[in-house]
Amino acid sequence: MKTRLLLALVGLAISFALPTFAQQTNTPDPRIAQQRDLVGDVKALDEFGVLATKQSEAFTNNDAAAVAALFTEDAVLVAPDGIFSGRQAIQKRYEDTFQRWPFTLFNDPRECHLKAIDNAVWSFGEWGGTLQSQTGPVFVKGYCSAIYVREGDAWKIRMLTLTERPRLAPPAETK
Amino acid sequence: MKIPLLSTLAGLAIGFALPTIAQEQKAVDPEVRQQIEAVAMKFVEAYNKRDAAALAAGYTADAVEVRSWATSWNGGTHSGQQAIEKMFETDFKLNPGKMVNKLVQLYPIANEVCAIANRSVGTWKGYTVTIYVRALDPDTWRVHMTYVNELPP
Repeated sequence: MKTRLLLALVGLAISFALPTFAQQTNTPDPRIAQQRDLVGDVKALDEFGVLATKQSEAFTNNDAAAVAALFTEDAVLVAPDGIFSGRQAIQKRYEDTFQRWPFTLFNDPRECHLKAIDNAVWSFGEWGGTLQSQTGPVFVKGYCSAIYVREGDAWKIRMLTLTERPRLAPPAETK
Repeated sequence: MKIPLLSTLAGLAIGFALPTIAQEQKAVDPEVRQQIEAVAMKFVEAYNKRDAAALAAGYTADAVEVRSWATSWNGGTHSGQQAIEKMFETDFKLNPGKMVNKLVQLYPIANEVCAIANRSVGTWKGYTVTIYVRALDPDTWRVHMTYVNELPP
């Protein structure tokens, strides 16, 4: 019994050691990254469907904390108004956005392409939504792209870049 | 005797596991950073020489470039090396400006690298997010996806 346990631990040590050593060397990895299109991968599409629903709800509810919770702690948001690094900065950015331009509806990204790269996924597509402005509802749309990584049982956004048309100018200052 | 050995092996297993997990969050290896910087510099040189074929050769066959602006200004989605080469040829007709690229952030995504940069072409300014993958033949990094955010005025 003890011999089996020993062997199992040796195996465990080696299996952890090999990838560690591979990452420490500077020699080029002879393996090209495994890439695949996720179209047809029902499980992956289901998981990203859940994420898309959470995202739509968070935006439609103008809930900056819920939006930020979709990101990893070290995530990056690349938006027309700048680069926002870290979950806190992203939450603050959305608090400001929702205050100035509250969403009344956020549509799930359409024409969204998902590609797996090893244990991460990247996507690109188009998004749309309706915002409330001082002169009434405004329909906005744009392109977006994201990189997702696994955190526990969930996919989180490591990087999001998006734009909107028309560009949302800050409201005129009132004196 | 066997118990200390067991503990050592268990410690060894955990000791190897922790840095493996930690490395996933780490910055890009300095050597890889240099390689990406060299590839990005070559890209800018090729752009400023108006060499669309050389630019397209820096992308994977199934690469995608997504541009945030209207298709009438050569924006939208361009998929595949051929379409990307054509896209650059159109760029050269639309904008005679020189490209300047400044790397802002670089981080690993599994075996790939994500690069965020400030880019300007003449008066057009914006950000780019690029995913580079390592190619074997020749051994270099190629662009798998680029998102260009807000370049034209």
